[in-house]
Amino acid sequence: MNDATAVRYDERLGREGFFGSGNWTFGDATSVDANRKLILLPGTLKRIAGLTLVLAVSSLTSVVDPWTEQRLERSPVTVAAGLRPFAKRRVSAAEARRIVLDILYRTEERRQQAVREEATHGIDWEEIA
Amino acid sequence: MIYQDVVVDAPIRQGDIFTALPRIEISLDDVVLFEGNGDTSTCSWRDIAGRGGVTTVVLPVRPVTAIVATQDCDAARSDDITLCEIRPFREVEGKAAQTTSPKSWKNLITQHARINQKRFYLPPDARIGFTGKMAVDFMITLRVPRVELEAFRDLRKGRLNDVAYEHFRERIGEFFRRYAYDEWYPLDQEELRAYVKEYAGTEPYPWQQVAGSE
Repeated sequence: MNDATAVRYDERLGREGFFGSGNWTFGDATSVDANRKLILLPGTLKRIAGLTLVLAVSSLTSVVDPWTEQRLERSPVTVAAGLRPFAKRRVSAAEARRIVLDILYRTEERRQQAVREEATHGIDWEEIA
Repeated sequence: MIYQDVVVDAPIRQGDIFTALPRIEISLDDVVLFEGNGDTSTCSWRDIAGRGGVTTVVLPVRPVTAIVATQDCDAARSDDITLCEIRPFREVEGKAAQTTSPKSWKNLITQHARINQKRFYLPPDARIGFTGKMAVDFMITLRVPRVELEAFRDLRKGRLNDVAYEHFRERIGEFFRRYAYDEWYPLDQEELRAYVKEYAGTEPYPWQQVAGSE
């Protein structure tokens, strides 16, 4: 069981803490008492050895795991564009630089154009004022 | 103003303001390839995507001011931190292009802020390096590796104070919660006519085409 009280959400407003990082302790539902001694009943060792052998042998198989096979065959994505022939144009380093900078300017220009267009719509605050 | 100082080694948190972080632009039409032999060539991203695998390309990058958008838990643990770019207010809000009077500014900063959820206003403050009115542009995000950003904490100029931070946190949530809808759907025919004058190309809904229809 998580000890939710240890998460220091209460320091959120103060903003000095490091919230969400409390001590997440777990209950003793799965814990083992380390001081408890292992008591071996008569025949226990034999039973443990037998069980170990059965478990070890049961995992040996000559059949290929279908899950592994399928995972190898399957790809999570398909790219239809893969059928298209690769087309590229050789450019000089100077032209490459120009193209790259042009991308930067074009992007900014488009963004500013969008801002200007949006400004022509909606409430005119100058008018209302 | 609405900012507070932060010690250099303090953990990175939502609302922290960094300067000179790299913003990369990419074009899907023009990609500059850097070949293994040092040659350069251009192609479309479609060509590269079709090939699959890893490709080395040349991209433009420039330093920008940005604010941490990633929430605090992720900012402490995740691999990457997302930031939103901070830009001059007039570049983010077109209606501010000609604004000069304090009364108009007041309207833009207060009333209009309730309507335009794409930005978050940041007032000037020389301490943080803002010589003019600025705005967080929620539309422009950048992503940087967390561990490396932690090593560049000297680029952090400050963070939002408690009041501004609470507001920022809600606004960024609202921005990503928005949903698209046709705002003219409930207008009657006269209202729709007025709307179309401003937004040409608006398609009326069936119930707006015939007067009195459902």
